[in-house]
Amino acid sequence: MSTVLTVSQLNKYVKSILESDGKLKYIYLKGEISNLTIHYTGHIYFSLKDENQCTIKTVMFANKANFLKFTPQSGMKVVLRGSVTLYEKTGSYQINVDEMYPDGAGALNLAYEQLKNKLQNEGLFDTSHKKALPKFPEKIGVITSPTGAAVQDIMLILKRRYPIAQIIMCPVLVQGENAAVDLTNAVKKFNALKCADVIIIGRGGGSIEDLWAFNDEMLARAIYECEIPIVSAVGHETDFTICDFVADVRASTPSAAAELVSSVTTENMLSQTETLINKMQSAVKRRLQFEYQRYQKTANAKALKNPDDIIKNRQIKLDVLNEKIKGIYVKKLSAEKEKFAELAAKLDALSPLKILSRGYSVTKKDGHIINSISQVNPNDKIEVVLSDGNIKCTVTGGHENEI
Amino acid sequence: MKYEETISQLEETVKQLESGKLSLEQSIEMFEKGTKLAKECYETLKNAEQKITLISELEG
Repeated sequence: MSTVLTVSQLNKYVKSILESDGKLKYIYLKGEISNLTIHYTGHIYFSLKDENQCTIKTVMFANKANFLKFTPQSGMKVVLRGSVTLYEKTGSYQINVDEMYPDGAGALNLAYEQLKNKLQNEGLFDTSHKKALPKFPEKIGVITSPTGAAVQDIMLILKRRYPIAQIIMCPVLVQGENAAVDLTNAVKKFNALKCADVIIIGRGGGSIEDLWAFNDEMLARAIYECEIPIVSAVGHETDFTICDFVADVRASTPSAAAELVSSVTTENMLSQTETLINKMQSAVKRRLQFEYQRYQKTANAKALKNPDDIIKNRQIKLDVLNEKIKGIYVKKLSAEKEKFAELAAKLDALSPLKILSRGYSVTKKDGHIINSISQVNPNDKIEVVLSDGNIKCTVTGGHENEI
Repeated sequence: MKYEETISQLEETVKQLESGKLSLEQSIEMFEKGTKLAKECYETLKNAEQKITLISELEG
């Protein structure tokens, strides 16, 4: 009788046979997922089943499952790559999975749809979170490959349309294994340094695999958290990446992105400035014209325009007045003259001179006319007024009339 | 001053001038201010020469 083995020994031996067979290593296998268990440790257990209801136990350990680009579900058809082994505890043989993709729709597509739904549900694409692009960016960040066509397109357009801005270049890998990490770090760097007013992130066209880095979840979150507005321009018009959805603005191409961030070109700005200058000038011109008219209106008033007229008018008025006054005066004067003549005639009739001329005289003492002898004493000086002169006399004597 | 700030100040100046609410003296003062701002804008634009900087140069 041969050696009696323990179950452990047998299982170990069969396991070693299975694992040493190169044909059972890194094989591709397709089938449908059933009896799926996702353990809290991250390990995934399920059975892979084909049309004939044949099954094989399948394990995907957490260190591999973490890289899955989709969430496995029961009934899902998948293609996986793994190696055949044996679980010694139960003696059942199984496949340890390294990679797994959904079959049919394509792994990338499914992963894309799933991530898109997940982020959409989380609100990462909400329009309310999207920031407006600055009208006059001073610094434009560019995250793209330094060797691609995209960077050339962007530079060319910015140079032509918007030379006023400074371009902050952040060269990155845009495809391949490290691209997603590179892109994510670039966005984080801009956000940390706050060294741009707007960022263009993108690359030229390519296959879905080429563009894959732009569907990265970490990149999406970095873009969402970035405080600087981001324009995403990945591939062609028909390509939509997660990056496009989460960015503040999606441009159909890198060239379009460059045009979007320079929506107001330097030329526009120049003509805007010129328009403002013109507006300013015509406003001031209008104002000055208004003031000039105001001035003219006042200046045209007769008084200011021809002061001589006024004086002349006044003169005429004055002359008329003078004449009037003169007339009145003359009239009055002649009336006065007549009155005077009348009066004079009357006076003449009463004039003592007339009486004197008939031989009578007037006697004055100390300038006063005297009419009685009692008013004088002998030796008084008296004056006798005749019609043609005066006689100075001294009183020598006299007597009263004898009646 | 940032270009955006300068141009918006210029816009405000023009608005005030166009309102016609300023005295003649104020208008002329505003016009002088506006002319200065416009000149600033104009020179910034005319002398614009694209500067390209690598982000690595900005990292301390």
